[in-house]
Amino acid sequence: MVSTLPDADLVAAIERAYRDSYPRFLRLAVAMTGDVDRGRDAVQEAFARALRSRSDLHRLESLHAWLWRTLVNVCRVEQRHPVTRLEEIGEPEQNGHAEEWPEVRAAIAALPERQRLVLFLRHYADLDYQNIGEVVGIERGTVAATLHAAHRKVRDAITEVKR
Amino acid sequence: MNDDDIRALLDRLVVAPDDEVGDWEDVLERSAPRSRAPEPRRRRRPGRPRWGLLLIGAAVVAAALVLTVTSPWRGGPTALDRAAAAVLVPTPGQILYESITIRPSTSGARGGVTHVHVWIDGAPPHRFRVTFDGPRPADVGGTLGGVTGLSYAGSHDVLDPVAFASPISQSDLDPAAFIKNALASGRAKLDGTTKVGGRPVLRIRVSSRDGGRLVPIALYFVDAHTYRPVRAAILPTPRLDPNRLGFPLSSFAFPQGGFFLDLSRVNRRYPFVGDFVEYRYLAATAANRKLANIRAMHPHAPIV
Repeated sequence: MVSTLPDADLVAAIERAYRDSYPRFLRLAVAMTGDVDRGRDAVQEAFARALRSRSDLHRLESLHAWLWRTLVNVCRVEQRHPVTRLEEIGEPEQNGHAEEWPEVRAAIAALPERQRLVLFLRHYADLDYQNIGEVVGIERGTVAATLHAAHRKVRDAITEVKR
Repeated sequence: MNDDDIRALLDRLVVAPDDEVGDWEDVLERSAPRSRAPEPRRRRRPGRPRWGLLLIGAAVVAAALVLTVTSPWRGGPTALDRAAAAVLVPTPGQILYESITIRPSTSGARGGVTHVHVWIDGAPPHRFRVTFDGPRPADVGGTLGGVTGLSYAGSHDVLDPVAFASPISQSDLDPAAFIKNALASGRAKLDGTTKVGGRPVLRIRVSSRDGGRLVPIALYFVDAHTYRPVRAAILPTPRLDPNRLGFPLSSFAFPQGGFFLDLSRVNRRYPFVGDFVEYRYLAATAANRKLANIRAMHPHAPIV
């Protein structure tokens, strides 16, 4: 099936999404790839890919979920060529909490992929449950349960560290 | 711990610049049909671009110091040579001050605008200080010949000792040596005239030898009449190890990792542009001397 949306409208909508939400796309990409530079590259590549395959989009209402999904897919490819582990994300701050981070990072890294992705989409992309479900391809209720499970594991990790 | 707590924690785990603006032109370029096999994408190394920007700033400073001349300059290698020879370090009665605005070029994808300030005291012990603004500001100072310096941590109002990779020499701070070397080996050349902001300027191309060939690494633009620095563009060097290109201030390495030094962290794909807001010698008054003295600027900050 080929999109019947005017091409100029599609391009404009994709550009608007890029300009309006770039920091959120970048944050998700950085979280998924574990590196700022790779995250930037992933965002650029995802939108380039979106432009190239824009004829696959059938409803403008689906644009945002489609863009996020494209970015997630690009990041997944990036993850297959890891140069930086999740444990290496970020830089220690000088606030006395740096010693907590390895365990928490490890806990997040150890989450099942779906839980980690839902956690990232909720917190870094700031998507609501409905949109997360569209990106990941799961029901809204499943998003809530998945996120709850992810939160519990992160809490447990923090509790363990604080003991 | 509620969702907000977890959000706060996750925010701390991922450092992504929230003020960054994407480069749509780059997206368009990437999305264009390719007429030939694309070159393998060179993976950029993880890094902290702000440090890279600071180093770029240093290179820009180099341009300013070298290309500010006081005698007539009629072009050609001889004139360039004279220009380099005419460059003076600040005398004991002077403080060199520079203010530079650095930004990615219009085709670049990285970072926002950074303002760099440099003070060099011409009097012994030749204190210097470099700052740049932004969400993670830096304020570093030391003295020529020293292997250690101080870095001001504003969040705690303390001065952190920092160790440089080697003693800071005059040439580390006086980029004249950098350009003089470039001139001596034929690496700096007049490259024509152009306009910057409607202002006639001379363009100077500086190259660096790598693997037996000369590779352009920077373009400097100086006012065609006064020879004052107007702009410097640091060119991408995707196929070279930027750490080996000989940029000034490259000895400013801290053992704990890339501060000024790590040029490999500098964006390798896009040129950066530095515009000179101010470039002048200040009288060596007590107030101006203080500007080059990091301890004097933060008198209540303990050294930890």
